[in-house]
Amino acid sequence: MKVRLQHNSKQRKIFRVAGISMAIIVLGMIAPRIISTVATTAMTPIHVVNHWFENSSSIVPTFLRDRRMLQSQIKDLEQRLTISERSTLTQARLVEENDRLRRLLGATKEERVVAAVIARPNELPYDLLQIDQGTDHGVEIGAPVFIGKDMVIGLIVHATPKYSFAELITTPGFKASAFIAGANVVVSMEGMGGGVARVRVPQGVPLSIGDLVYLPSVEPGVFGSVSYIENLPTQPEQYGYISPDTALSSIYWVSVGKQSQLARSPEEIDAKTRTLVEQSLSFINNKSPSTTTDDGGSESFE
Amino acid sequence: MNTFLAVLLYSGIGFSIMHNWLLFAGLCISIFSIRHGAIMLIPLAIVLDGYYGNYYSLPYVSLLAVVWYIVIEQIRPRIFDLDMIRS
Repeated sequence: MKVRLQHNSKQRKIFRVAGISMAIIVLGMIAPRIISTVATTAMTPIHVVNHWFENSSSIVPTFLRDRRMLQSQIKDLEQRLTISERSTLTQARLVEENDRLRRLLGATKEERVVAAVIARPNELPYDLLQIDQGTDHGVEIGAPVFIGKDMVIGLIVHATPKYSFAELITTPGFKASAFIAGANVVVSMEGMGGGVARVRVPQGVPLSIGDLVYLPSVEPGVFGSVSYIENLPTQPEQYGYISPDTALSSIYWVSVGKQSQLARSPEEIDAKTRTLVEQSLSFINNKSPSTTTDDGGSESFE
Repeated sequence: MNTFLAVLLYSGIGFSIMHNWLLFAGLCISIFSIRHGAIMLIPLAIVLDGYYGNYYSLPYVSLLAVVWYIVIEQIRPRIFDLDMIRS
């Protein structure tokens, strides 16, 4: 009986407290301004502590703030790492797929010679490199010079048995056909000197900074990317300036292709073909049997 | 010591709600309610609602605190009874 009375009293207390609280809440809803003022006054110490925690340069709040900042940075970096790992995987898959497709098409990987750069601009005229491999190692004039796997930077212009000179694509007067990836156009590229080459593109072609520039005659021939565009509306053409992504001073190793890329003019090719035909015909003339005519003369086949 | 812990927990509840650390706030509220009862949470909730201006719309923290008080006061005696049986 006593326990029941105690229980009932407890219940009554609970409901009394709940009722008073509800009454205060209702009063607060009727006069919110009063309760807000009271609450703001009551919260002042907490607000001050909070302000100290957020803005103070004391050791404890600074430590806690730094910790929070570092935690968010770690989270951000972890996310970036995950994305980067996925990108690397995608890149590896694409390289493998590219190799497989190239094998299916019968394209074989070109053999290359690795060479160290033994002299560069400052010691040599600008846009010229000296490498420590020559004709003894299979380097020939006109062979393309690469940085890394696929970035072509120039051609061999002079080769001795022990060393060679490579002329960079950016040499003044150097001309080549180039393919601009973003704009999807083939244009002529000319060296400007000082490590810069230039492409001329008609107005209206969407040329943009960062577009990759390929040399189709050299496989695989990425040269660099468009780093600056000169576009004046009064000019019929716009100019894209290209510089290799790697600085000349930081080039230490290069690889040299074994297949010469020297372009011949149609006249040169025609003259060479004519010479070869003449040589083969004269060889036939020398070997062909002579026929004796009735009047005792001799006649050769032409 | 007990009072000190109670004050610490009580401050922790207010501070964590203000910083929106809801998991920590939930943990502190549970411990405080079981050890010291939930009646003291009602004034805190009323003050918080007033501070954030919830009385202009709906003082949901205060209402939640009242409901929480009723629930906890129903549960607490049973938890203590179980403790007594165990000991």
